[in-house]
Amino acid sequence: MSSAAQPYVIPGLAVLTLVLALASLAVGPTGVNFSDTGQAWLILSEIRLPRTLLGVLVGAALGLSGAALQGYLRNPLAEPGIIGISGGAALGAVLAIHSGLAASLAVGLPLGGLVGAAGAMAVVLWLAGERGGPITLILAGVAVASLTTALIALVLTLSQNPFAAVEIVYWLMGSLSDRSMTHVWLAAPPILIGLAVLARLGRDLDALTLGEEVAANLGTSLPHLRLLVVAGTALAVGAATAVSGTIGFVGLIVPHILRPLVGHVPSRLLPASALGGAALVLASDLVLRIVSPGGGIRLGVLTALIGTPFFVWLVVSTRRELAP
Amino acid sequence: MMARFEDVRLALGDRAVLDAVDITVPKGKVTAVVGPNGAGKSTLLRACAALLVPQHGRITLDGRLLAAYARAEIARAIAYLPQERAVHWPLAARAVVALGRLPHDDANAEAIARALAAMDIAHLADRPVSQLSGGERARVLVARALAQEAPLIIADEPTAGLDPAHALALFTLFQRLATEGRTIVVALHDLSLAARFADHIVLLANGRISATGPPGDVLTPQHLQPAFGVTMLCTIVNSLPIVAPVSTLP
Repeated sequence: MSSAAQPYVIPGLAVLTLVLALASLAVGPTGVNFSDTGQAWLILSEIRLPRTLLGVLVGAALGLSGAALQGYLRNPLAEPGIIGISGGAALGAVLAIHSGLAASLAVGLPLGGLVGAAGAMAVVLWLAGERGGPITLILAGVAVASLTTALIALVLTLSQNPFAAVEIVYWLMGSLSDRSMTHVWLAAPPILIGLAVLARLGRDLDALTLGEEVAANLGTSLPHLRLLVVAGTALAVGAATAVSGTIGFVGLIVPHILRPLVGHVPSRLLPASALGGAALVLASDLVLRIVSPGGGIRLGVLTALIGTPFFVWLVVSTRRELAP
Repeated sequence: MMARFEDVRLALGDRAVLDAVDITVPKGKVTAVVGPNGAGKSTLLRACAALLVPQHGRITLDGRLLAAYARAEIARAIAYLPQERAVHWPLAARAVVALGRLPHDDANAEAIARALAAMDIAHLADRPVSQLSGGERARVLVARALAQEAPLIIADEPTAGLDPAHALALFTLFQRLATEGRTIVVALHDLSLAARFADHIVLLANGRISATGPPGDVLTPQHLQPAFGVTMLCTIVNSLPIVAPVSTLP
């Protein structure tokens, strides 16, 4: 894209997100009859508003943390799942379902997810070591992600209650349906704090474009930066996964699509990816409500269905770039 | 800015890369660090840029311990140009040069334009660095360091990959910056360039200082031959010093 168009990218994405948010409030299986203001208000405030707000928060969390991780690792194939945070959140939520905590306490499931994300963050940071670079962080993240996948499978096979097993599988697919304002109140503070932490890293991610030594020379503390990237992702993606399940590929494809539109500058990619992530999740959720009002297709399944072909294309084009 | 190394020992892993290093980098001069591969030139430069911390001895800048400087102070005092020339995203050349302004938080357009002009890359400013040649990219990265406008410039092999015209232009620029009061430290392999443009030479071999002083005293066969293991021709042609390797010593 020409540099002249770059200033319009972020306002354009903001307008797109706003339009999709309004559409998300307007579209649903039940038509809102505005002559009956009481009923209309009930549907809007109790059913659609939480869904819309969560769509914005979860999408922004996935998009922004994807951009921050790709910037930190200087790798366009990085995404929030790579450092094990979403795996930890999923494991925590699955344990909450398995133990019955989720059934006895409305916020038990998201709370389990938050605890799982925090645990994963602690293990990843401990494994990666105090002075390790991006490579040790990836290795630690891959180890934690594999372990959580194995433990989730173990919980599933040990589950004696078939209903709990089905619930776990459904929950893992990711969804924004049947969420209440309680979920919003629970997830919003950690997501917003995580977004605020990540949004401030633009300067250091820009400096890292020229490698770790130049970044250090330009005033970046690399251990501090790594801690903030992991903590911000844990808060934002951990809380997002805790309320919505695992929604894949948003954190991978959104920064990748938007990067050329902001001149590849990491700091400009951060706000663009937050808005782009929100827009993609809202749009996907809207498509689901229109094509599958009964809830047969889950949000995480749809994003993976869109994301996988994109990922293949990414691999093929990278292969072409790297070919001699 | 004057830098001093006092009895510096620096090990990477178990290997002492620098040992008993005692040097002064004079203010307002061009200092060239020369020596064979693996002599410790890059390590010396990194230590001077506060990127590595010596296990023994002290490094001071203007009499103050380097380790006592705050991160932000160092970013404004020292511009470090590594040998590594990776640019991880295909940023426009101007955006890369603008990174040099990060320590000042000002994206000063004049400083960026000056750096672009000094390195003769103003015409490439809007091109992605991924589309530039190796030498052009090297000039963009030098311009990034210049845009930092730091009193101490530390450059590791800045002329590697540059054509003769741009290598000459770079050292002429270094000389001018030095006369304006800035301190320049460069590691380089082109000994003729060092003989012609440097005010002060540090000759390293096996992590130790084997000679230090003005080019006329250091760039001589008796110092260079044992350090490099080759016979050296040190002469003057048309009043320009020439230092050229001749043949490997048995």
